[in-house]
Amino acid sequence: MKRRSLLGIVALAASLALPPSAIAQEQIDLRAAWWGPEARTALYNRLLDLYQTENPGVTFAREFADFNPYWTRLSTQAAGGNLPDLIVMHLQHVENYATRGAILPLDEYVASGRIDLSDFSDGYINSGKVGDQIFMVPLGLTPRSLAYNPTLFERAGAELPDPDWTWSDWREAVSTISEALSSEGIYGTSDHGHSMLVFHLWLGQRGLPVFDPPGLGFTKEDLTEYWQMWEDLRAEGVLPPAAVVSEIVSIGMVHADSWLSRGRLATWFTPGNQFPLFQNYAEDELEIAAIPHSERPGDRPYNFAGGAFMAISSTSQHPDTVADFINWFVNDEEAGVIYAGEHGPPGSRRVQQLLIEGLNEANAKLYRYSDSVSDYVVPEPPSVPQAGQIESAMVAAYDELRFGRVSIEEAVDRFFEEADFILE
Amino acid sequence: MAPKSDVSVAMPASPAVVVRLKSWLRPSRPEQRAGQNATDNVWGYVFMAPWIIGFAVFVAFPLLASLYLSFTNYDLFTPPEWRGLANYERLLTRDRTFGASMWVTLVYVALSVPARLAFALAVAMLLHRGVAGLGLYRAVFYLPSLIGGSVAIAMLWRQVFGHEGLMSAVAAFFGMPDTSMLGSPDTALFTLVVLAAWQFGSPMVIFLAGLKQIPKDLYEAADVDGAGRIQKFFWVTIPMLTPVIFFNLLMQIISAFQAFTPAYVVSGGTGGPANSTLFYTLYLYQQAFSYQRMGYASAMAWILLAIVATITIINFLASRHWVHYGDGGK
Repeated sequence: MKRRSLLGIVALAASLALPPSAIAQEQIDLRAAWWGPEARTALYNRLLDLYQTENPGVTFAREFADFNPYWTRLSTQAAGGNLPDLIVMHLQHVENYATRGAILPLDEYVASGRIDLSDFSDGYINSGKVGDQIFMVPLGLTPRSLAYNPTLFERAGAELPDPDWTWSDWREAVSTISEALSSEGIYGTSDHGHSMLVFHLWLGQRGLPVFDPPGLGFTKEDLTEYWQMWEDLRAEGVLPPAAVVSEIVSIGMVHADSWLSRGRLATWFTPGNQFPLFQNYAEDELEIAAIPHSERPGDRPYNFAGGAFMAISSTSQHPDTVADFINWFVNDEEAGVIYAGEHGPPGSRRVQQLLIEGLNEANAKLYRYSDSVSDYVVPEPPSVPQAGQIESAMVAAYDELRFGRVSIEEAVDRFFEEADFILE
Repeated sequence: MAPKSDVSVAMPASPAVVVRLKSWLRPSRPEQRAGQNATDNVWGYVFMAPWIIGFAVFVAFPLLASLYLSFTNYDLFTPPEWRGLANYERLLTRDRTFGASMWVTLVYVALSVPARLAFALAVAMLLHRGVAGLGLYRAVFYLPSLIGGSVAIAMLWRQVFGHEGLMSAVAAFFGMPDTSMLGSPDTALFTLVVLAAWQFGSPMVIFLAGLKQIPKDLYEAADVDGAGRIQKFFWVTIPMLTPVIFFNLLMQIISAFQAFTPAYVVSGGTGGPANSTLFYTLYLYQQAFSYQRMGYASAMAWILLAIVATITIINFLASRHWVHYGDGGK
């Protein structure tokens, strides 16, 4: 008798001791996905952990990958109706996902203030739109840049870049550097003839787009001129050997192994937000220069800003919770300081101010650079769904050229044939 | 003797029904009871059921679905759109990259299969002589073929053959120019052939088993006839091994056509400099998962099936002429 009543009292006490929240709280499990190198993954993990601590009912399962595999996997998940709730999105791909209804329009959240974009500039808000609807929230936007190593410039006796320098100035500088230092395996620049990024900038200066949906925006003459420039550089011995260039390119976003960080290249075209990542692994102090300007009459300076964004999958069971997280991510000051402009200056002016005070040198350079080009920077223009395939075709055609297997005319013809075939 | 089996559904549950059902399951006539065919069949199907269900769901259904999809345009987001033979027509008559990938794959098969089989036979013959620690050697040589198709080994290959890798260091030692075997379209495929040849372990084990089966008295008879080592190899060993060679040849050709991971990792998913390592399966993967053209990729898959099937049939037909089954079978 006594034992039974004792047990009863203990049971009652135990049930009273349970915190009410544990009974009433609904456990929300979300999935978040992003791309990026290991350092960025560590950042995201830290931020997700912080959010989870502050919001005990919410947990995030994390999925991450390198940039290219990320999109492959995302499209497979979309096919399976299995997209993660929180998707880090990119300008090149958003149209694909938005027009097919894979991600949610966010206008209602923005209008109600659940995702508070009140201290974002219009430019930032508009960058997340497809058509008239907002589909994603910017985490940061950066222009393209030319990272360079002044130590190598000085060693070779080449003139340092200035904000108004032209392609001729750049050619002279890299020629000087390659001539002086190629015996040590150091070159002024790598071969960017295959690079849609640099070609895009080069075309933009001439007022031409890469894509004029549904087709290409440039002609054979444009591509021929562009490749001629690189052929000339190759003939002068400025570029590393072709087989070595293949490897330089395949290093991709592994900044630690990149030739720029290892002091074997003097210049490198890159999205601005990667500059601090290169600096991280570089022994020498790197600087950012403007993209060389075109000296043809009538051409203007050109740069476009890209970045990363967050979107909500349309199949998410808890879109409101994801929206709350996005709001926290882009507005919360602690989050902003931790994230520290990983994708460039963030949208919230308040966070920007905070960051500017505490920036490390590399990021400060990036912000100053971003400012300096802000009057002519445009958001990344729309592309076509087959953009990835066309980029591969450009790489393949250029490979034939740079290994000396075909002439420029043949390579250009081949590319255009392949592009026509792809765009059918 | 016993009442004839009879199943009557309308009868209420009763011992009578139970007896009747039991008699249906246990056949009453002596001949039937002796073989128990009906029971065996039922249980046979029951045990097969897991495999049949797995096959139907994971193999047969996707196979048929992909056949259907190969006639459509399917980008995963929107429902498939019927296009008839358009995918096939595009692939076979107009897609230059398809032709390039087909060529790369054929070259790869033509180089890697003989290389692999030659190494396998050579090492099997060496081991067959009888060495101490045969089991250890066999395991050691077999190991690469287990792990060789993995991502880890492919990454290792990138290190060995890449710029600043082992081969480059060797080349530099001999004063050759600073280059990269992986980065040049002339040599990139060769590195993959070497990787394939390195995985000779599994055909080797089969060759070893085949060698053990050759009756020793044939060799003794050859000795009596005054045959030298080389003659014995060509006139006793090889003919007796032809069934094993045939088997290995067939299996290796099929698997070489399906090679994917080494090409993907070594070329970084791009198909290598100037499409020189763009295997058929890699191009298929790009079409399916990078460019989201599932219908097109399905058509590629079925064309590959047709090609491999054709080559297999040709192999079988040719085998009648050169494969010698010593026991007089088939």
